[in-house]
Amino acid sequence: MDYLYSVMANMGMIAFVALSAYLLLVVGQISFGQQGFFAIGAYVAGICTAVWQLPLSLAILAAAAVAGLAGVMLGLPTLRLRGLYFAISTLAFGEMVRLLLNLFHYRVDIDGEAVGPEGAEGFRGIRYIFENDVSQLDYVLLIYGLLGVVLAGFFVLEHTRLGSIFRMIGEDELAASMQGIDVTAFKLLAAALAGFIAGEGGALFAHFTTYLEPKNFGVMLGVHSLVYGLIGGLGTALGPLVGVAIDIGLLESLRWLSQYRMIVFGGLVAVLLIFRHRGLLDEELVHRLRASRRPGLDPPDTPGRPDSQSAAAVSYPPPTATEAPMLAIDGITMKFGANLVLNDLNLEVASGQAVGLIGPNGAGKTTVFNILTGVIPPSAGSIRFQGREIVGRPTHDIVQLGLARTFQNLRLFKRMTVFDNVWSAQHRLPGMPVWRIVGHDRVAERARRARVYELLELTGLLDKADVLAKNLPLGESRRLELARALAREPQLLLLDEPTGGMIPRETDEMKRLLEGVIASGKTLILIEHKMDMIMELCDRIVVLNFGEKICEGPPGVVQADPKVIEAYMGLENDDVADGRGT
Amino acid sequence: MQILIDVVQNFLDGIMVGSSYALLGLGFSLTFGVMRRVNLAYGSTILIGVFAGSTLLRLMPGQPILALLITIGMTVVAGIYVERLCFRAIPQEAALASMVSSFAIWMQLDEFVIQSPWSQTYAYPFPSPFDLGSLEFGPFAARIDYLLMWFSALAVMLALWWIVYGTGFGRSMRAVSNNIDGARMLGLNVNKINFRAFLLASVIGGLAGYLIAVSQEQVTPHLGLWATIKGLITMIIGGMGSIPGAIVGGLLLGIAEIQAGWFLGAEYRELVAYLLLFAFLIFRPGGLFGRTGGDGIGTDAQRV
Repeated sequence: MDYLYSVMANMGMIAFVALSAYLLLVVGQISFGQQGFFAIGAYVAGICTAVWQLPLSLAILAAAAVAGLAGVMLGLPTLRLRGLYFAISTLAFGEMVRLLLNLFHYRVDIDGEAVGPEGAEGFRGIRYIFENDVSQLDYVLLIYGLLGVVLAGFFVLEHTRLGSIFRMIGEDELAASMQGIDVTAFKLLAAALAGFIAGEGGALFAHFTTYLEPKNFGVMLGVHSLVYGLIGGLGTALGPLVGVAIDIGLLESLRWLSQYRMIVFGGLVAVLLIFRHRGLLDEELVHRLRASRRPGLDPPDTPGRPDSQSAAAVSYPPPTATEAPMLAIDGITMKFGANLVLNDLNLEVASGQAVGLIGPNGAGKTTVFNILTGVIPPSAGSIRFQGREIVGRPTHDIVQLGLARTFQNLRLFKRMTVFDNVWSAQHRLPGMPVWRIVGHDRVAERARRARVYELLELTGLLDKADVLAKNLPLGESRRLELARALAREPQLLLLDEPTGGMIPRETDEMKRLLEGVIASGKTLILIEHKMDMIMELCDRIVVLNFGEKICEGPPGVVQADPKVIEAYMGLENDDVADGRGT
Repeated sequence: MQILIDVVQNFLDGIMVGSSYALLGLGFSLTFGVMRRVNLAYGSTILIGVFAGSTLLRLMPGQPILALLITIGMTVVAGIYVERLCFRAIPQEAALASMVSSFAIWMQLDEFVIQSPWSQTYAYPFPSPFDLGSLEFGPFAARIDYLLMWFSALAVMLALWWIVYGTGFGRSMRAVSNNIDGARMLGLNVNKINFRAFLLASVIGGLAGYLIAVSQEQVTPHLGLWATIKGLITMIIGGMGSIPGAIVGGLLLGIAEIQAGWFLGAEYRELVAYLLLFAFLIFRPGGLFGRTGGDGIGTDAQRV
């Protein structure tokens, strides 16, 4: 029985580290170093009870808090690193913690006995559970009770905006920042939470084993924890638990194989990963399971009927009655090395206008959008949005002012449903303070969901609301990009080739959609190659060639301009007029 | 005066130790540079080779050349196994799955060595074929087998330089490394190029394993973990995918470790290595010879 308890306890304690690594995987960060936080938690808790004679509950809290703080400290310099760089920095962190513990001496005399960590010799005598007569069973229950609390936290997270923010960052940081999300801040939050969880597990570990050694916290523990999430699946917080259960469960059921266990297990994991790149319970399977449990999402009460309350709840205040134009680009220049991509571009867009931005490939059109949204800083120049300077401000800050964009090469959140793509774009709209990401305001939230359905109906995606975005065909993906941008209730909408790669029927649908958007009074800048469409939709057209504005004016004037015809090399005047040019 | 002599002697020792790191870093850099994926099983494929070499030397003593060939050969065989299972079978986009899969195979290979019937002890002797002693000049000394390792690293670097920049295969490797889709569109067989780069890395790894084993005269199953971590650190310090970077990074790591171990105590040796790595990641993530900021690779590796 004792043996069973110790296996159960081990599974529970490892599960904390696995959940900690999983949380970072959700925000797209690979960590080999969560065992470092586990170690910090274990030592802090051990010192609290054994040396300072504090109660266990306080020790666990202190351990988790210190480890969470360590998560922030590690995250501050390292979270700007990406991919492998971040992973290696966590590896270095985990190993540094272990090596520093080898040097850590802190001995205090308690009742004539020296207690405390003694470097590589380890930390003996964490006897709290013996001194207080906590039975093995009670302690196992405590471990699983706390694990249950952490898991409950994860499930609540799944159903709040914070959960979707984490998943958005994990999928595509640029697209997430375009929805107004401060990516760095939320990654830091995830690092703190991950540290907190691992520290809690460490505190439990210290009191279960009663004896800590730095070598308990080697890099193997960290890598294993990372692997558990990937075996079990990244779609749900149950994934890492399944991973732990498979590993330790297999460890027990394959006892007859004893020494060959790792050989079999390693092979099984490798084969599993060939077929399921994101583990057993990946996003797709979890989505299918959820869909079968509750058919459809809560349907809109009155489909398609604009809810007056919803409009009030989410729309930006109307443009202030100042003289300032919606957008004023003043002398924007962009150099990449010796390449002059944009040269002294000036452009003014008044409220309610639809401006077409055209030009041959490589003319610098998308670069204009990237500069407008703060993705890349211009080499020189100034941009005023409704009179406010936006050059130098981060993306999430700029889009918060009422600007939204779509991407030419589609940057949807592919592992999220169509509904969630649009819903999560409502991040911090006016009337939604930042703490609303964890707590729903029922009335406002219902209005926002109604607005999502409204946008889905507008874009003809209502019957696809519960489909994962990666399963949409191109035409619908582009409409979803538009719906997501509209969900930000922007005043200025930047559309980068909304009909790129579309067949004529889809192009016509998109054109009708955009006519509606323009009619609703939104200001629009449209990059397009399909001339007939841009000529019909836009009030004014700006032509770029090699980073220079070569022409600007109403469609008729631009069409007749010889410089434009020359830029679209070899095209006869008639072709351009007929809209056959591409 | 003594302290100056110590510093110089440590410097020499550091260069010698660093040359083994340089070789490991070269192998790592080669696979990462071309495939943009991390092979955590690299160290354990070397362990397989060295273990095979050690077994051969026990069964047939006095066959150093055969042992070298077996060491390299078995490293290559293990490398092919890893390439097929963890890299070829998993698409490029699922880089995380590849990495975790290579970790699982690492565990498997280590266990395979420990459990094999020829593994009676926890240390595998690897007698040096020649007792070379050390070269002394003035107050300084340098072990000749380390010198040999140093020259091998240099030779491998030059050979690799020639392969990468002087042959058609090297040109296609650079093309794949630069833009995998573009290379594919030009009709390059990306799988084949990845595979060859992997083979080349395995040969370098096998050679490194042999030289390390000979200079230590024995290895333990920890060689896998050790080689993987030293290779990774060297690659980051030098700059991912950079050949001179791996050499200079390895030497820098070796010198820093030996100086720290001498002046601060053995327990600081590893700590200083990780501190050096951490400092590079924060202040110069592109490494010594990488693009500053390492943005190109960072963005590629971001989508895992």
